[in-house]
Amino acid sequence: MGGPRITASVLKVLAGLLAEPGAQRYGLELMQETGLPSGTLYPILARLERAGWVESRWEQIDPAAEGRPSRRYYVLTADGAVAARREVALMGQQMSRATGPVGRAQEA
Amino acid sequence: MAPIDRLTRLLVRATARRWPDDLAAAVRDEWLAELAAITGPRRAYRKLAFAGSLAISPAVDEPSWPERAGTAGRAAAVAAGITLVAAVATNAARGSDAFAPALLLLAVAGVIAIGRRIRGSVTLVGLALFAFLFAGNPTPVMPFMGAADIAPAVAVWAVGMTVALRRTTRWATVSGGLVTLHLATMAGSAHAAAALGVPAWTAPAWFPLALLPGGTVAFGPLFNDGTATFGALQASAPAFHASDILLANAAVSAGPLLLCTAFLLAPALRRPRTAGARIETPPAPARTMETVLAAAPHSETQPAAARTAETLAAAGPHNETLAAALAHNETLPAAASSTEHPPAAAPGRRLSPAARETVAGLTGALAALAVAPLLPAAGADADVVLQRMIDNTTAFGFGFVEHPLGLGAVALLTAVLAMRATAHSASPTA
Repeated sequence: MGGPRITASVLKVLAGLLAEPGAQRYGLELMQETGLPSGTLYPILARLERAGWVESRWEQIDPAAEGRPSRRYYVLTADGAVAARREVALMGQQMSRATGPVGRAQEA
Repeated sequence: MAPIDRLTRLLVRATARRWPDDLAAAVRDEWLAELAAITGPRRAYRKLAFAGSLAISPAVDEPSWPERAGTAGRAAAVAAGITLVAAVATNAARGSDAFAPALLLLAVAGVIAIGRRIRGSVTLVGLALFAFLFAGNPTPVMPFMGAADIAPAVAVWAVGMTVALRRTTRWATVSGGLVTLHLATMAGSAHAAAALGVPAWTAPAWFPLALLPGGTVAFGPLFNDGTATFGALQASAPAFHASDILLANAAVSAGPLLLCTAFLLAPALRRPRTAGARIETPPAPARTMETVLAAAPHSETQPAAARTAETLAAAGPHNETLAAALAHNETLPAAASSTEHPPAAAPGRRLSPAARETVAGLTGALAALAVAPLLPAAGADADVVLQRMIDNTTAFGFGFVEHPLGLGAVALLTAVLAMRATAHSASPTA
């Protein structure tokens, strides 16, 4: 199974999920966490799920009793958590290489 | 149920239908549940933003809007570019009198070579042909180059080419293209034939005769007094036949149509693959981040986004820069993934690929600015135009380059094509 294409938005979603790796995250929650609009977030979640990096489950509630339909939540898989950490770290390294001299100059 | 709820539910249901079949039902239920979960202040706005964003965004397997815009832009540039190339080549060929047929054949071979490397769209090439023909030839001195003449020619050509390109055998495709050229020339010349009194039975000969030098064959009424009076054109000239005027007008579009047809048919002219032929594997999609690290959309939930950035920063010392970029929704600089290495600079190369493209673009634009004014416009002098129509040396009017806007557009187009050609030639997968 190939990995998803890594974009800045995908990294935001991965970072949002990594903030609490075992937590159940709803779409609205991830929108607030990442700042991404729904039209950007849901295609990313679908691609991550296809890649096996996240899995989704449906909330176990009685819709009639709750007065609302079941929501779908997402959680990082074990492989996904490893891959997400790797991609985030990798991007961090790349960014560090790209902006290193500037960063050092500022520090100095 | 409130109207805003009805509207947003309707929107997400419609959006879900655009998603792949295996996901459509699940995302529809998920979005409906999320809509129901949106409560509190600004509820209506947040629901509308949620449903609206989904509605205007591509589904999971659809290309993004920038990708679509890029594809459309490239296709339009190719269509405009090949039309200009066809027009310049036709004019150059027709200016060589007796050598015109040979040079036209050479031009056909040239555009076939281009067409084997670059695909074009029939519709976009048709639109470019119409625009250039319409803008390049002022109807006061080219009375049969108005929309009533060009539109039927281009429309018949576009339909015919679409049908021809759907043929499965090479010869059926080529035959379809040739028939299309004949029919398009007839459609574009019908108005002129009716006005000039040219007999309809000569129609099958209009296309090939339009490609030959003027005076090869004459038919139709003879204008003995040497004065042409049709439309706004009034000019003195030697006696001429109606066919001279009809074929001169037909030649304006016939040459470019011929070359554009050859360009579009080029892929169908390839030899069919044999069983033992090597099958080229298309390059795998690049996984580099250089083109995909676009800035994320603006968000009203910046504090939450900042928390994500904090998570990144906490993940390691190297992530602080990334976290800062994400927190501010900045475009990240190009970087390669772990599976790819950045392209090494070739020793001895003094210019980066981007610099080479810029130089190519500037050179192309300057060349266009220098050459375009030399291209033959139809002109406003009826006497000159009539003489050129009679000897059939005018083929395509570049009247649009007489205006700064038209000249600028041609220069811009040339720059874009030169930059793309440079990038294409530098690409290892090209």
